Amino acid sequence: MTKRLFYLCLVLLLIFASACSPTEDPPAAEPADEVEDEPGNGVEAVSLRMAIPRDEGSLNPYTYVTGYPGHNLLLLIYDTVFQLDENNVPQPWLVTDHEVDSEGINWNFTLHDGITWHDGAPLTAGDIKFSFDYYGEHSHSRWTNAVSAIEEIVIEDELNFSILLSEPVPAFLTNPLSDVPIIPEHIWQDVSDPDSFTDHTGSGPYQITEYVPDQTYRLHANADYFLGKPAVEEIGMVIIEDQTATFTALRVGDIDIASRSMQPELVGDFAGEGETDIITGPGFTSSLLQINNEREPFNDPLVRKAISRAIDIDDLVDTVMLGYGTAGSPGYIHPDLPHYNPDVEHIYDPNEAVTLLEEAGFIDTYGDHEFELLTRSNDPLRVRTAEMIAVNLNAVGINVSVQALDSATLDDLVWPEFDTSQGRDYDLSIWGWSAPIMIDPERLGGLFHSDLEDRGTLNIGAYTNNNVDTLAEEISVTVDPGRQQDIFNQLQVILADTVPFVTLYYPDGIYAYRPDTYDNWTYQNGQGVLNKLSFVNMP
Amino acid sequence: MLRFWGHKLLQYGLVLLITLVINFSLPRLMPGSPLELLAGEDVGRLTTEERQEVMSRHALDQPVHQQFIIYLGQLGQGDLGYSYRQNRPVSTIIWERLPWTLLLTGSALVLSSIIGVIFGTLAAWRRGRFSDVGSMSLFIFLDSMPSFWLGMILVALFGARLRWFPVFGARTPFADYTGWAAVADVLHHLALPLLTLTLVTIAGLFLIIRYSTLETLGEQYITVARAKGLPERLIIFRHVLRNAMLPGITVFMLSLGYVVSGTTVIETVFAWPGLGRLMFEAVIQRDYPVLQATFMVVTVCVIIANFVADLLYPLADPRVRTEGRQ
Repeated sequence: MTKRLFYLCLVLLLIFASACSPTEDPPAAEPADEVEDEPGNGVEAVSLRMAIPRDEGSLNPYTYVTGYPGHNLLLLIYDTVFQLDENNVPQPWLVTDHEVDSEGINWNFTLHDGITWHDGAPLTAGDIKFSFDYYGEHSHSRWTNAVSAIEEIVIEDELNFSILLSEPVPAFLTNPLSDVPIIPEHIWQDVSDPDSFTDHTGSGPYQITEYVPDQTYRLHANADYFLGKPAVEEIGMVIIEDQTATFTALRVGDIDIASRSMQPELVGDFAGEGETDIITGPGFTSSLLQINNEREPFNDPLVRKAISRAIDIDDLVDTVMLGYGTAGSPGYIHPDLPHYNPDVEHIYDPNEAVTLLEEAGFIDTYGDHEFELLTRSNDPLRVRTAEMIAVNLNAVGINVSVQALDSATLDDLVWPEFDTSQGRDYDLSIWGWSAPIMIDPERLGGLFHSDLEDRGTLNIGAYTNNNVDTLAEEISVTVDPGRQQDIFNQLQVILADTVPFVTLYYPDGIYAYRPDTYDNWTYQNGQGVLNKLSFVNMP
Repeated sequence: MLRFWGHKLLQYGLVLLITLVINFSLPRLMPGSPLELLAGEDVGRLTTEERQEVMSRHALDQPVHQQFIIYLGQLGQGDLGYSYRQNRPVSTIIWERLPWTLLLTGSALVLSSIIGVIFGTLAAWRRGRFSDVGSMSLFIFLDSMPSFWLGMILVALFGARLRWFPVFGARTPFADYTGWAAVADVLHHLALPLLTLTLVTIAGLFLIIRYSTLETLGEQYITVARAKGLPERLIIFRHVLRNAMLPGITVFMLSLGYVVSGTTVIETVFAWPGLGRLMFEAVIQRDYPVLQATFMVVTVCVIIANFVADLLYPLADPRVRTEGRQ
């Protein structure tokens, strides 16, 4: 009897072992549905399946849900006046020409001829004016603020219009012009409650032909697109919330690409010569050690500097991100961005950290105190990061224990009501900002300005520095590129010295896909492959 | 008799009211706010007025008792509210999800019960022999295994490696099957989650039936039946099982109430579009209306199942009937 039991266990073990072991190349997988493979030019895929992690509403400017991938998908349906290229430089898109006066106040544009909406109506200067006016009048968290500096839009004729600003906006072409979608006046003119309006007629390269809430979207190429018909005829989007299920579906060929960036440890299973491959590149999202600057002893810049010196960020990139990331700059700005200051550098020096802590009188008062380091429980990479930081900090005499919380609870402690003027209740927390908060220089004011009621809307650590306040105010109205760079450089030096938070790393974007179906992805630096340029060429 | 039912009804009504209060206040007592869901991704940029405007649009700026009265008023009209996350009526969402959950958990409950009863009886009958020890070890082993892990193993083996079964969802997206093809497609998708859920839930009923069968086998009337020379099969099915089933029925009825709540873990692993997953997402994102409604549906179902159990039990066990009359 025992023998039979033994065999039973053995069989079970073998089943599990074979299921756990890395998959060998599956036997001649059936070709993806409806794909006509054309080797040589290799770009004419008929149908593409993409997994997205959650429902994005009816995908119009008021119903889409997430910054990523929601905003990216929105911009496949709708167009913007300008479009960021691969290197995030704004290029004319709906317009052919533009002129601006020397103060950066008065802008003149000429639209492309022959642009139509998905329903066939022509897109005119009137639609541009209508859109910006509409966003100004109907509050939306992303658009309304972006168009607030627009004083007036004057329509000269069908194709020509000018925008008059109330004050110069340094990155006007990036935001709002490359960010805010243009909506059709003839459809939206009578809409008073946009949050419950579900129409999604745009002018973009794709139109939504089917939406099954919570399950699927079907997008079809806009054959009349003014820049030519997009490369992929149909994009079927499937909502798969679970990460493991997403990548299993990709492996067996049920989907061709996943919108979500992959965990570094999975790369080995998908990269290479098989049916799947990966595209990687730098990411402009950030991972930070957020510090509560209001709370003792972290209100002392010496203590914050000591924390920064104690953290081995290269080790974090190697161990947690397996090298798929860029080490953080203490000036916050990603090294691939034009306004990055190469003179600031993270210094890992535990001995100096100890000296700084002694100088600040930390050991006498807080030597026995245990601080809490908060992190989101649903993100294993962040939990691991927090654990490694705790080891780093404990080594220099700062006692830290890691607390993993669900994200809404964490938000409530770090950023209650998403309003920095409502206070905060934490010591340290792992945090991160999305790519737009890295790219748009105007957002720097939000991150660092001490006026929490008005300007410092993202200053969740209540960092205070008068020089930074002055520079942040100046940058938001400076249009001269030389002066801009000068301010950026100064800002980064001050930030590196006063440490509002520790910038740990910028995770790479890692996108797994099936090259047999479609292989013409364009990696927009810092922002990934899910953008218009992956389907349409720059004019 | 009338007083008995009046009393019962009052009891269930009270339970329902208490759970409504709890369902309503629990989400609001949790730290965190639905503001991000309501206001959109760039919530940090909202001005104070815009924040207040958003909150007042959903009556979230009013005192909690006021909100509760509004909620009860809507509920009285059969209105479950709008989901913050999906901007659709909660009742629509629940109606979409409910059939999938009932299909998965309902068929798993039936399957695991049948297997549990059969194997439980057989194991007790063959007590101490290989089939008893073997099946008991197997079911306890399966029971102690985390269901997500078993699910992932099955997906990895039969989905990703052998490609016998689909790896996610309840239907093939964009396939547009109709008629029998659609049914076959759903069954194909159902196989792995059903297998997982069945395997991990057999142990409960199996153990109960096994123990109560063992107990019954020791009764004197069984010895009498044996002494009469009745065939063993007849003894087991006519005399033993009918008595041994009683605790099983209680357990079955209790599980029936929880069928609607689905199994969050298995629905997650297989991306199954059921209610459990909906509830989990609503908790994570503080989607109050969905939370309230799904919890309420589960509560009502548990109450109904209890009620039905109260009705049915006397049919299965005549002793309860006579005691009730006294």
